[in-house]
Amino acid sequence: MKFIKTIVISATMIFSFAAFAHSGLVKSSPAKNEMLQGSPQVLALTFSSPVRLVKLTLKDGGGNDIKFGFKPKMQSSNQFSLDLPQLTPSSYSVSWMIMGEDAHKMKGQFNFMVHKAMAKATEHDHASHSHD
Amino acid sequence: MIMPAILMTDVFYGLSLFDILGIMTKWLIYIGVTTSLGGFLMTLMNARSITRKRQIDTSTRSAVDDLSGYMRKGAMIGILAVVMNFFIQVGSFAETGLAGMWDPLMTEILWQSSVGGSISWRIAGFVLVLLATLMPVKRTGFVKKSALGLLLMATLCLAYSFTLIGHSADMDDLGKCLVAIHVVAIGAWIGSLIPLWIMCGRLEAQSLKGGMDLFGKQAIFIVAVVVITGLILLSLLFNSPSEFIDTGYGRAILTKLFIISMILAIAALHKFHLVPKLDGKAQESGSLAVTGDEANSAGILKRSIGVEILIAALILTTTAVLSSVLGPQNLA
Ligand SMILES: [Cu+2]
Repeated sequence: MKFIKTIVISATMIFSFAAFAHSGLVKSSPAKNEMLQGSPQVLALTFSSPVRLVKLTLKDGGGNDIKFGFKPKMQSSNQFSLDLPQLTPSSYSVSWMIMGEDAHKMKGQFNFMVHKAMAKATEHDHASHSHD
Repeated sequence: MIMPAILMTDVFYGLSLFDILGIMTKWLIYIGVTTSLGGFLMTLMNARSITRKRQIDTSTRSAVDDLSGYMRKGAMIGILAVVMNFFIQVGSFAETGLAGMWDPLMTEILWQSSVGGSISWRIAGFVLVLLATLMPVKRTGFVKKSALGLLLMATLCLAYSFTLIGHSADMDDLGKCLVAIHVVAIGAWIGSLIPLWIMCGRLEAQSLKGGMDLFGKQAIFIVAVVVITGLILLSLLFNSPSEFIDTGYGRAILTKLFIISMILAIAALHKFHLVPKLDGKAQESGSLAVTGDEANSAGILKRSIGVEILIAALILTTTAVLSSVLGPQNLA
């Protein structure tokens, strides 16, 4: 009985952290949790190895899908860069799904925030600067 | 049987329906491949003993018929499983429920990828196996040779398909070669177990011993190939021994190694203990009195091979799981 228990516990240990730990997102722009002053021009993703970007969605804080020109490509690549439309201040979430060279599916998600009016902030900076 | 059940529920916890269906169909693909390869190995073995005897007796004839049927079933399971596995993968990528299995965009993406290539090679391999089983292998000469040729081509197609997808796809040519050899060797070995199991019930001790001895000689060589290629592959996939403990993939591999060592222990028990015993009884015999004993040691061998078959099924399960939902750190 003890033997079986040991096996069950070790089996749990073995598989409970079933990590889909290969070929992931290495870098992105906007970066994960980045706070941006104003709308970013592009969404750029860098993966650890050549992958096919199968899905890519961008949602605003209200959960609305932001349309941009993403279409799944048949070729694999390490890097992807997509033009973004003007983004209004909100917190955004990016979801990606890739197919690795080994045909396995991997996906992930990250957030970034767009803050209001970079122009105003700069003005303010200028103002305070001139006061000094 | 409680243990594997718990183990499975634990593995499946957190996996999507498509992950589970994908693992199940992959397991069936493995069954198709091992059945084809094991059937091929046994056919070769039969061919050798037929050549030696220069004629085919009735028991060999029925064994050949059995093998054809065995390979045919395996190849048909294989084709079906390959097709199902493809649409399950499509559904997994589409993420729109079961209807996503027919998603045209994802179908195209997957078909254009290495998945499409590996499917084509697999179906080609299984069709070649089917063709070979339709040929009258009972005959000697040209017909038999061309059937064996078809099976050899099938083996190459099936082996090649494993180098295109899975974690071997990320390895260099040496790694791919090793994967192909590993698959052929382990497939041939595991796939021979059911024909051997059937043999135990059919043949009388003397010819059973002959068959088992012949298989034992090949098995030593095959097992050596499995172990050596397996170890080199592990050294390619792992950067440091600590990954065996630290990563989920490493732990799954350790589990597989543990199960493999069990099956190797049983195989050794057969070769060095149970099979020689078959002979001892047979030689002592000469009277009807010992027939019971003879049948008994064949019975023990049969049951033991049965256990081996169950463990082999578990090895295929572990492989299907770790090649589907877990990945080596090295490729991260
Ligand atoms: Cu993978």
